[in-house]
Amino acid sequence: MKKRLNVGSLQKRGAGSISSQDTGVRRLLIILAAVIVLFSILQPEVFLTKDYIVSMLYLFPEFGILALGMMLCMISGGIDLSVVSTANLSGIVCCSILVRMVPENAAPGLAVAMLLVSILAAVLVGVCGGLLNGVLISKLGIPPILATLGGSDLIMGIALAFTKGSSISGLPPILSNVGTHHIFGVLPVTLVVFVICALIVAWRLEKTTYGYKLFMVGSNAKASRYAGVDNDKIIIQTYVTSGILSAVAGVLMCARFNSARAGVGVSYTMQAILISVLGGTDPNGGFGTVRGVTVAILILQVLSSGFNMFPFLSNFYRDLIWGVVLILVMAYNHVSNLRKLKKEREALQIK
Amino acid sequence: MRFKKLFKRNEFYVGITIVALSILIQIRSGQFFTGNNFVDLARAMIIPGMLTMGVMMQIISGGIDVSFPAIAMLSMYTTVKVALSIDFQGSMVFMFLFSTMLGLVMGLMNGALVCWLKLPAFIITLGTGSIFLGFMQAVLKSRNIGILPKPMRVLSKTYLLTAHNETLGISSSLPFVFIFLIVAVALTSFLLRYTMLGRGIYALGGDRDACQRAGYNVNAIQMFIYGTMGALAGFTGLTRAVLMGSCQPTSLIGYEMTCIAAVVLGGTRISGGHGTVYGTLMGALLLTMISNSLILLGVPTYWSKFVTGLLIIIGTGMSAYQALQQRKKLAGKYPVEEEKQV
Repeated sequence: MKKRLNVGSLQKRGAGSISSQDTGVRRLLIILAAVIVLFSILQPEVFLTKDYIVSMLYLFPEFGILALGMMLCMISGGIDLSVVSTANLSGIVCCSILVRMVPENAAPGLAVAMLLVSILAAVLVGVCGGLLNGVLISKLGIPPILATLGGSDLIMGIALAFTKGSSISGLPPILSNVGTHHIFGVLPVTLVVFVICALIVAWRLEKTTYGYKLFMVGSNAKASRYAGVDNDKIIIQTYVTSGILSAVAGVLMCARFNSARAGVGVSYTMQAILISVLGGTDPNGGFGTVRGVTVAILILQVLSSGFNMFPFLSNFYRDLIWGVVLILVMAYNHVSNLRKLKKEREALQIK
Repeated sequence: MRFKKLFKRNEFYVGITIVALSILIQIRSGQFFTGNNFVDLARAMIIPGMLTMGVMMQIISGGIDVSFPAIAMLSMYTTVKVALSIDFQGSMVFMFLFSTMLGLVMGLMNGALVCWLKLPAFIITLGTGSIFLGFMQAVLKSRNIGILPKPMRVLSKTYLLTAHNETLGISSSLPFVFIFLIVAVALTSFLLRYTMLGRGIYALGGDRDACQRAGYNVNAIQMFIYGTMGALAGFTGLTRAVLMGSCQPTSLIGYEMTCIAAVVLGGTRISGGHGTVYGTLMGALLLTMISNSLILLGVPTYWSKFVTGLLIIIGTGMSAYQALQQRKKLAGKYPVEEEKQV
């Protein structure tokens, strides 16, 4: 059952027709609209203000970028549990470079140059983390869930040992100035970073042979192997991409907190998986879209920001509701897939 | 021939690591082979030992559950809260029964979802775990409870034996609940080794279709496994509260990864179908030693995470690499890849 659906979605992708993925995105858009309308009616004087909307747009890119990486790994049929560890270690490397290299009253030019260097170093850390995961999965054949679990502990361990468990603070203002800047006062820099990441990932998935091969590997690794795809290379590329995206998210986190510490945002792993699945990515591999994931991120951000408006609801309700949403979405997808399969079968019998 | 087989087993290498580590600690600190250290280790083994029995059965069957710490915490908290509110004075048996039943219900929910949705159990239980935890923290507004109900206080002060350490002037006591660990291990061994259900669990992990065609009811086995995990988690949760002498509702967050690591380190294959009770116990012992005794080596505690990660990668990498080599040998020049599973 699983195989047939996946191959079907692949064929439809190739034909470029209006396919089932668009109904999935449409469904998510309807949910998003419903949630926005609900909160606008309940608390119009808070929810519809400019500040509230800007704060939502400012906050979601962090775990949104992590979710993009998670989606890529899930499309390949795996999962990346090390996103937060990689983000933490990248953030720590970035911050410690900034702390050491930028003197108190540095010229703006030097500060910007050092910022670029530190971001580059962070991305390099992400590449290394991704490379580790990718090699363990493809060359050694360790199942992704274990390889990234071990990789996560290893990377987090390095981060903990490097900082001795304490946080790095006293950063030069340049990072947080750039990271929390709002272009023209309304457009957060984080949002711009997210849009760039999303566009690049979407382009890689939909327009390059890498993307096509990734879908093939995720749908059926054996078949793609016999079709001449270098599965190992594709998998390593995927996890390296996820590592780079994690590093970017890590730098954004540091900019927001204006410090770096191992263990910040551990719950983001769960959120990234949730968003990825909610956005229609098939956890068995072979299917997923950037559009779906983006809408899913927006839904979750609106939900959690919306809940913040009600003081009597503690933050813990968010976990509860996200869990319920995840299970409901998976159940709904399952039921609608069964129905579609039945219809296909009936159509075949008529012929 | 038997020796050659021995060298291929994960359990063998884990055993060697345990022996080497204990000798190293003994040389560095002189405090490893002492009565009180053994009692401390045994005490620290109770919770991971009990939980890994359930986790191992799940992984053997090809499944996985990351919601069991949430189940354990929710059952524990609810039981303690209920007992306090009715000022319960009766037997501890009823409290354990209550907690176990709560866990069982939650475990069966997991099982039903896994059977019905046929999606990776990891993601389903991630969702349900988030629900259980959210329910406890948001709806029940969980807080630390310092004073336990009287039966629990009595049980937590019941000891099997006490070991004194003359050189350090400290003594450690082995709590009564250590017996639960022994019972859990014995029951699991019996189930896996001597019952048809145990065979079915291995068969399900080895090949789902073959298991079904051999006449097993796959869904029933899965329901049994997830139900057992839930019940075990409920029971262990309350044991944990007894052991700590207080009810700390969030104390098990993140424990699922430690348990999975211990099980996998002990030679259980995550793809299912392989695994032994003694291997799992050794895996749990190794991780317990690392978190407990690394400090005796003079290694700062913040390295323990790094060592754990390294052990997971080496432990799983070795068996995975051997399997890969074997497949290559079998398939000649063209290695056939197994489908990767989450």
